Amino acid sequence: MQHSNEPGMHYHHQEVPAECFKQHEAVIAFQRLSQLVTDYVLGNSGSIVPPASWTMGLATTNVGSGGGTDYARNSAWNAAVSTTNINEIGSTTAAGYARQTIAKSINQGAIDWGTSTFDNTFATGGQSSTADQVTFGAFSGAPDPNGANSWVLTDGSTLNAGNPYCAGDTAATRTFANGDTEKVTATLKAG
Amino acid sequence: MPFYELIYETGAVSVANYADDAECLRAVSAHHDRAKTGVPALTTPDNEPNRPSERIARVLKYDVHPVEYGTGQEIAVDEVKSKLNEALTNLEHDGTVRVPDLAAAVRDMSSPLVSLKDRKSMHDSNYKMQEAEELSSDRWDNNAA
Repeated sequence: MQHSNEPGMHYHHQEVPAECFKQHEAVIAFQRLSQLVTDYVLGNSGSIVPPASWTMGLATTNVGSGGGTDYARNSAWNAAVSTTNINEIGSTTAAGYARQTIAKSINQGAIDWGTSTFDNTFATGGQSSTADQVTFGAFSGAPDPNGANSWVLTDGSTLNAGNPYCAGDTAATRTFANGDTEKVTATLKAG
Repeated sequence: MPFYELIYETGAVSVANYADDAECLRAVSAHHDRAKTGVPALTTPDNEPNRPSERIARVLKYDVHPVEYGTGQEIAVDEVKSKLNEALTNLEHDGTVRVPDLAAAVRDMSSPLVSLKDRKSMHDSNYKMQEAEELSSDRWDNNAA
């Protein structure tokens, strides 16, 4: 997985050239994503299934590198911040925060996944796909909690709930105020 | 608390959760005014280039997050039959249909999002759920018609 904050817009899958800034940050694939591969893809499960659409959230916690307060493979959404839990911004006071939606399709929706590509590098390669950019806000003030350190691909709209699938650190802590918006472009690389 | 779909002039879309219309209009006006005066979208100082703000074209109000359309991926049997027949007609080739294509069409029935082919304008809603109301643009743009 890779993360980038990328200005510009996406419309009918024609990228508009714009000032561009990309930065790759720490990433993690959570247990549920692995379970989708084993149970749904391999086993055609009717109970372990993908959601009708993906949603993306912002969390105060960071991916890190496996430390006591970093993410773990089995991290779950939870407002308690003292462990490996994933704590969502705006869960006490939204102030304009809500999860954003990514369609479960390829090049068919206004915001969905792009054509995947393959990287044949032995150690780090794999198939990857980049989603269209999502926009958070406009914020009406400071959400509580404030300060996003990671984005999380998840499901549903209820904050601090749902299945987390993967996450990536933001390039820097994002704190929001009245009139602010934030854009995230997610890439998933399965290797 | 209601949810609001913000449709930007660029065609970008976001969903935001505000306590009421007044809070929504405070945020929308602030961002829209930034776009008109060239102020960046995010005030947080960091080492990244400033991203431009975008004018806001439409604001649609929902009682719940519009991603909750078809919650639980359950839809009425009659609706399934109708859409299944439509899919069979569209996917049929020489009296057969590819099962993976049919499965994808069935899965798409519970999608809360409108596909590009069904969007008439870049300022159409991104969601299948019917909005409760649309806020008039003159409430955040003094120069609106």
